[in-house]
Parts: sequence; structure tokens; C-alpha cells
Amino acid sequence: MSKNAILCVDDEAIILDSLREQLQNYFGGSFLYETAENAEEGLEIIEELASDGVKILIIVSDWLMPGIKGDEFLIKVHQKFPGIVKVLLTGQATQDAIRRAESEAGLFAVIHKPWNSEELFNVIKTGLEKNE
Amino acid sequence: MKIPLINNTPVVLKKKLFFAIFISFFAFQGCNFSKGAGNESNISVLIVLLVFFLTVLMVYVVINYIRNKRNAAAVSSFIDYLAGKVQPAFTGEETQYLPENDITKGLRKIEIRMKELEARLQSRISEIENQHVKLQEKQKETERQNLELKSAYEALLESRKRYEQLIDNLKDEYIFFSQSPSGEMLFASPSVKTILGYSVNEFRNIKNDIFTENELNIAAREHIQGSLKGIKQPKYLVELSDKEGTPHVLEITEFPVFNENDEFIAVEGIARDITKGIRAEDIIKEKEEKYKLLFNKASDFVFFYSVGNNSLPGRFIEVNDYTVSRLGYTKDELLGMTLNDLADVEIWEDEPPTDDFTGNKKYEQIWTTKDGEMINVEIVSHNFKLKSREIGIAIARDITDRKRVEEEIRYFNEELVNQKENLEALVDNLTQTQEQLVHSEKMAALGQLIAGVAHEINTPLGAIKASIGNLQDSLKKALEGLPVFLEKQTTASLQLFNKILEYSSGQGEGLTTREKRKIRKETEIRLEAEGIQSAATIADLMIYLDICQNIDELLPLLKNNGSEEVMQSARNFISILKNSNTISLASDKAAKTVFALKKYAHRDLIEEKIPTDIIDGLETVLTLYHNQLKQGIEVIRKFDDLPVINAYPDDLNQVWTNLIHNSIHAMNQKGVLIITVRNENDYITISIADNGCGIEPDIRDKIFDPFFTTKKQGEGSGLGLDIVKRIVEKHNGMITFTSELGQGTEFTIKLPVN
Repeated sequence: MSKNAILCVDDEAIILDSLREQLQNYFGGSFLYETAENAEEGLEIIEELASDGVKILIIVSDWLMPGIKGDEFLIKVHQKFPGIVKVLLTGQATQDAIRRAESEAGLFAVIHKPWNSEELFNVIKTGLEKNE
Repeated sequence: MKIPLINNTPVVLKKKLFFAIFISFFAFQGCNFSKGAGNESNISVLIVLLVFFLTVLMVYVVINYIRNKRNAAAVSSFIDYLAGKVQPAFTGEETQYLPENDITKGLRKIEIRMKELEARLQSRISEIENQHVKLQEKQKETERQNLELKSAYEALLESRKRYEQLIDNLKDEYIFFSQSPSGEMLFASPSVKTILGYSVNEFRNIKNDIFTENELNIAAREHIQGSLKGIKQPKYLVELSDKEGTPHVLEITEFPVFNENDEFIAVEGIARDITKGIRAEDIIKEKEEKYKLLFNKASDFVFFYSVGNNSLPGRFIEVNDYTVSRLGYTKDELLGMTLNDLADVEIWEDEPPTDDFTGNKKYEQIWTTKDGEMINVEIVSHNFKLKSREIGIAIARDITDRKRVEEEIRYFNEELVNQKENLEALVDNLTQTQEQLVHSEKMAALGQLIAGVAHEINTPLGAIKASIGNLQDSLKKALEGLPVFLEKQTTASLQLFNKILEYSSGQGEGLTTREKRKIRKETEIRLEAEGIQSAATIADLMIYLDICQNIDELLPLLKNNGSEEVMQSARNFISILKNSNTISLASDKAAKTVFALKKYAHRDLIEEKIPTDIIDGLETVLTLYHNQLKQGIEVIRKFDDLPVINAYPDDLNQVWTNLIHNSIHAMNQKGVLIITVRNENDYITISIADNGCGIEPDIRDKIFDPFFTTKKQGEGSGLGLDIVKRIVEKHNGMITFTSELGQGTEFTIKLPVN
């Protein structure tokens, strides 16, 4: 059975834990929920899931992270998986970065921390709908 | 001379008569002699007398011979004797005894001889008569001379008397004295007592100790030395103290005295007491001269005037040379003018004269010279009564230059005041600008931090918000599921539930997502191997509940039916714990950031040192930079225990900020930042070292210069290190650095503990 996954990337564990639980609570068991503490790990997971036949539908990434920044990460992902819906969930991102992600990573939406759960769910739902 | 012939008188009688005449004549001459004026004239008188006597004697003999030829021989021998030819035995007795024959012969001879003698006598007589006449003339001359001598003598007496009187009269003013070349006082007139109070003897024994301190005596001593060497000195003044100590000024006239061999033997002199005279005439004369000079040579307008209206100067009475030459009018022209003819305005119209307490009036005017030149004068006038007439004297000073200079000074002064105000305003502005710059540098650094800071705050806020939602969800589910859970409870499920609650702390194990993923995968495989259904879901739950490490113990329970539901229920409870923990962590994180931010942005208004914890400050800055640092920089802290020091904590925070910021920049976000704090008793040393790119050698001496920056325009103000240096110096500290290209840079700050 092919499963769909949502990947969250953030350098803060508290974000990953709460976000994951939040998504799980809302979307329940329809998805796999994967979390990565940085972009490199995120790329690993993508590759891993792909080889496992799990399709990542959506990536929710922070922007300001050690190492590869969110925009760059999403661009990299986009080059391999242009179909994945990319959302930036960030406490702060430069306009340049957002513009780059929009043009080069097909950024779907930017959600600012602290986020509103309804907004997040709507964005993801809309993204998923768009993807279908 | 006529001698009365006494023919009939006996010889003896005649002899007696002659003697009487002789004596009486002598007596007369003797009397004359005794009154005689001199020895020489006495001798001449004696000679005259002797000649006279001889003449008389001869006449007498001749006459007797003529009358008595018996005595002819005797007479002849006598005459021979007189002529010096024979030595006769000359007595009357002898001639009477000559023989008769011989007498005739003799008589003849005698006759011849007589004739000869007569002739000779005649010539002799005429000779004598001549002499007699001469003698008479001589006598007259002598008498006349005697008379002259007498009157001269009387005149001398008279004059001596007068001089004595004069000297007597002058004794209050003059001292006559003489001194030996060795300076010994040989003689001093008694007037020394009157003038100086010393007796002659006292005076002769005093020497220099009566000289006063008067400057006169310096020259006087030189004159005295000169005099004692026999050099004639001009009149000089000396001041001596009298016996009572009162000074007397003496005018000394001295002259050297030499003996016939031209040897200098004494100094004689006259000292005149001119003490009073000096005060009177000389001083007055000198003063008058001086005032005259002062009046005419003064380079101010000096003039006397008649007093006009309002007791102010009217017509000129007397003007000095300067007034004449400066104003260009002749003296006569000026004397016909009043002060107001010179001035364009009446003096009191312009500015009323001010009276000072001396009675002087002081005011300023503008005068016009004959050439039309305008001059500013400052007049000081003083009115006084002179022989019941009120006149005044004024001194006016040409203050044109002064006025001009004053005007210029006033102008420049105003300029200066303006400039000063401008400068002050500028300085104020600059100070303000500087303060603003310092603050804005701080804010700029803050601005650069804001990105991280926003993230640092928004991240926990996001976590909190999500966690609260999760909490509500879990609580709702837990409460909803609770009755069913309690109803369906079996021993096995209860056991599992208890175990889960026992093992799951809800704190999280601090595992990375990668580790968790690995563990989850292993757990899922194990569960599948054990034949447990929904292995993936249970593995997820186990990860969530942090109970994967207890899998061996839990496996039998997990194999029971409904274990998944038990786990879901437990998850709902544990979720409350987990999310509460997340909220707690997130709030701490946010609070820490906000606190650091507040500390950092704080702007001290009271510029006073306060007890400061250096490490606390460093940590604050590190907190603010946490977000940037954690992305690739390892921070190594080597902190000694430190005493609290008095400092400006906000300023120091800016130092740490600027240095750490520079290090991050130099390391391009990746590297090792070593912060060392050492307690060196009197000093605290803080060093911030990075392994970044280092500072180019050619700019190392410029890095502390204001506005010097290596960053791109707009990225750095160039004030960072300037401010750092200022702040360190404000703490009486020192900042140094070492740097190596490609190896890194270390800044070291030494702060005194006291």
C-alpha cells in the first residue's frame, strides 16, 4: 500500500514535536509524519521515503536553520521533486529568500511563526488539493 | 740842611749842644722806628741819620778850623783821616807843641792843602746838598708811603672785622674744615656745633658713621675720595646725621692745599647746610620745570579753561604743545575758542559727564581738528579756585584708535560669540549625533540580531501555540475516551497502561530525529517480527511515548488485543505532559530571549557605574546570537569565577556584541568561537577568539578608526570597533588584538577590577 507523507523540517525540537502532533491530531492516520532537524536530514528522508515508495506530498520547512537555509533546501527538493508542495513555516525569512523560493522552488505558501493552526491546515489542505 | 752856627759859644758848651742835638734827633727817630712799619724802612732811616750826623760833624769841624787856624793841622789830619789817607795823632793838645819854622812851612802847605780841601769841600758840600735834597724827597716819599700803609692797615683791620662778623653771622650755615690727605680732620670751625650738634673735638673723632643712607652719599663718598687724593672736586652734596640723628644736607666746596714743593698737604673746605634751601628753592624750581615739561611734553591734550555753564569747560586759558599741534589751530586761535567750538555736540547732550568721588568729571566727545579730522577724546576735567577765580584743568586723550579698536573688538567679539554659539550648537549636535550614532550602532547590531531574535521568539511562540492546541485535543480525546477505556479495562490492558505511564516521563529522551527514526524503524521491524499488527502505528506511538527501550518487557503486553487502544489512551494523557513540557521549554526560551533583548536594548540614562557581572553580560549577548551561532559555530566558554566589578553593563554588552558579531562575520557563520574570561586579581581579561579569515595586515592600524569598515556599504557603520575602544577606555581598560590571515583573530580586553 502506498503511503503519503508530510515532512517537517525545523532545527527546533519543540517545533517538530508540537507541529507533528498537531498535524497528526488533525490529519490522523492518512499520512506518515516525518521530521528532520535540518535540511540535510530532510533530503536524506526524502530519498529514503522515495526508495520505500512513500510519496511525500508536502514539505513544511523552517527557513533559518544551521547549514542549508530553507529556501535553498526547497530549491534542491524542487529540482528533484517538483511535485511536492513546499511551505515555509518560519519565524523570520528575508524577502529575497522568499522570492527565490517562490521562483526557484515553486513555493506554495509562507506561514509565519507563531502560526495559526487553522491557517496551517488550510494551506496544507489547499496544497494537497492542488497536488491531486 | 741848615745847621745854626754857634760862633761865640765855648767849645765845651758847643760839644754839649751837639750832643744834645744828636740825642734828641735819635730820640725822635727812635720814636719813629718804634712805630715803624718794617725793618727795612728802619734801617734806611738809620743810614739817613748817620749821614746826617756826619754831615753836621763835618760842617762843625770845618767852621771851627776856619775860625781857629791853630787847629788847622788837626783838622787837616782829621780830613785826611776822613779821606782815608793818613793816620794822624789827632788831638788838640798835640798841635799846640809844633816848632815855629816848621809852622810856616807847614802853614804854606796847609794853605795849599786848605785850598785843595776847600775846593774838595765845596764840591762835597754841593754833593751833600744834592743828597740832602734827594733825602728830603725820599723822606717825603717815605712819609707818603707811611700814610698809605697806615690807611691800608686800617682798611685791613676794617675788612678783617667785617669778615669776622660775616663768618660769625654764617656760622649757622657754614662749617670750615681742613683734612689731612689721610682723612684726619685737622681743623673744624666751631660752627659744627651749631649745625651738627657735635663739638669740634667730637666732630674730629667721628668719621663715616654720621653718613646717612641717602643716595647722595654714594656720589659724595667718591668726591671725598677724590679730594683726599688732592684732586679738586666740584661742589657736591652730602647728607650727615646730626648728633640727634636729624639729617642735614651739606653742600661741600673743597680745594686741595699744596706746599711750596707742590706737595699735597691738606684739603680745606666749606660745608654749607642747605637742608632748608633744598626743600625750598631747588625743589620748587625743579618741580616747576617738571610740571612745565609734563604740561608741554604730554602726549595728551592738557589745557586750562575758564569754567562755563554747568561747571563745564568754557574758553581755553592755556593749552599745551600737543593740543596746538594735534588740533592744527595756533595757540592764539585756540585761546579764543571754547571746547564746544571743537565738539560737534554739546558735551552734556550726548552723554552726561560722570562725576567720580575725586570731583573729576569724565566724558567723551568728538572733536574736529582744523583739517576736519574727527577725533574721539576722553576728557577728564577738574574745576578749582585760583585766586578767587574759578578755572579748571582738563586732560583729554585721543581715543580714536582705541575707539576703533574697541569697535573692531566689539565686532570680532560678536563674531566670536556667534561663532562660539554656532560651534557650541555644532558640538551639541555632534555630541547628540555621536550619542545617536553610538545608539544607532547598537541598534544596527540589534537590527542584525532582530532576524535571529524574531525567530528565537516566534519559534517558541509557535511551539506554544501548537502545543496548546495539542493539549486541548489530547485532553478532549482523553476525557471522551475515558469512560470507554475504564469500561473495557482488562488486567492486561491496565498493566500495559500502568507500564506506559511508568516508563514514559513525557520529558523526551533528547534524541535527534535521525536517532528516533532509526529506533522507530528497528521497533517496527521487531514488532512485525513478533507478529504484532499495526506495527508502524505502534512503533510511532512507542516513539511518542518514549518507551522503545522497554520493548522487551512490553512485548507480551503489546501482543494482547486492544493494546493499541490502551496505548492511544495513554498517549492522550502523556500528550498533556509532553505538550506542557514543550510549553514550559518554549516559554523559557522566549523569556530568555526577550530578557536578553531587553537587557541589550536598554539605554542607560544615568551614567553611573553599577556592579556588573561580566559573564552574565557575555551570556546575554550569546543568547541573542544563539540562533546565528548554532548554525555553524561552536562556542567554547573558558570562564574563571569573577568578582562583580563596577562598570557600565550596557556598554560592555555592546563591546561583546560588536566583537562577537565581527567574529561571526569573519568566520562566515562557521567555525569556533572561543571566549575566555580570566580573573587576574587586579584585572579581568576577556578574550574573544575566532578562527575566521583574520585581518589584512595593511588595515590593522585602521580598524579602530571611526567609519572604517570592511563590510559592504550599508552593512556596517564603521563605528563598531571605535565604539568598542571608547567603551573600554571609559572603563580605564585596554584593548589589543592579534590576528593572522586565514587563521583567525583574537581581541583581548583588560578591565581593571577597581
